[in-house]
Amino acid sequence: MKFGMVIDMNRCFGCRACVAACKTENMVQTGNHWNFVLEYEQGKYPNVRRIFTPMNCMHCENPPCMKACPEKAISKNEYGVVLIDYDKCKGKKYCIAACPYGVIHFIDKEKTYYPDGQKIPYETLPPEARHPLHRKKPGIAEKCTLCWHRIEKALREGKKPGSDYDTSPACTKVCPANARYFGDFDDPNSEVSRLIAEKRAVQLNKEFGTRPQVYYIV
Amino acid sequence: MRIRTILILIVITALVAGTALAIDIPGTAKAIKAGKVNVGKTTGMEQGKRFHNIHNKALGLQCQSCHIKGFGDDYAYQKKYKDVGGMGHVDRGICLGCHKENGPAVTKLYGTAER
Repeated sequence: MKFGMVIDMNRCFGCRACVAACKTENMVQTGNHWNFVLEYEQGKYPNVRRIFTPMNCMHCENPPCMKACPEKAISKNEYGVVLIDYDKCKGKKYCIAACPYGVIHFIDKEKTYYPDGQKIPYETLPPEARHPLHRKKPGIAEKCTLCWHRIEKALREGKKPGSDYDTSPACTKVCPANARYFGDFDDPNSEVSRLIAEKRAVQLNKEFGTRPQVYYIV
Repeated sequence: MRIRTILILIVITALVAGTALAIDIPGTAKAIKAGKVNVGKTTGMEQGKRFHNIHNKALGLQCQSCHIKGFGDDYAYQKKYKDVGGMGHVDRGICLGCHKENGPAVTKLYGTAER
């Protein structure tokens, strides 16, 4: 199994439900975004169009961040998910410099959701009560994990990842426009494989030879 | 005539000096990897640490060679809206020039695009 995502840019209208879902699910540091929507205009008045490009880690087949890390803290698992080991990461930022999508963020200091330093219940949770991928701390890099904690749980329970809300990345199932699809690229009959073939989905920044596992229908 | 001769001399001197000062990037990159060039031992992106010692001091890349003022609207780069301060953003296309599979850098970060 090799997991990835297909994003239909014709359907995305920039509501950012995916951004909010990701923030809540993964408690992403204030100011950082594992998920983000790029927005720009195309054409000239009166024929203008607004383009929305949702971005997250591309989980590249050939990840430059993994090669750049001097601490060998980044790995790609057998399911194609690129993950950062927070225990090994020393915050050298080489991964941030190497990533051509700018999807890796640095946690410079501990920030609380409320400006007065008051913590929300999640922020008071001790590290051991969290999934290892949510044990973030200042001085390390963070990025999208494709909600690996959900995929891992689904695999452990014998469920098919992507089959329902709990077994899919948080950003996919909340999309009101059904613009995001998650699935197994190794299965030729999966929805993602079919979309790539039928809609001729493309990868971003292909010239870098990173072979991203997030495809876009443009 | 005299001015013309002086100008020719200036051009020749500049060319000779330029050739002498030009850095052999693949050779220097290999020497750095082999530990023959002192670029410090502390890894890090900050000035004075390995990253800038390699690119700026050992390889002689000017700040403006990598740092740009901003990206085009259609540039698919998540953090392009963030204020990075200092010298500005780095267009990864510039990194690609040397760090691609058949590029002069020893660290091959990027692959080659599929046809």
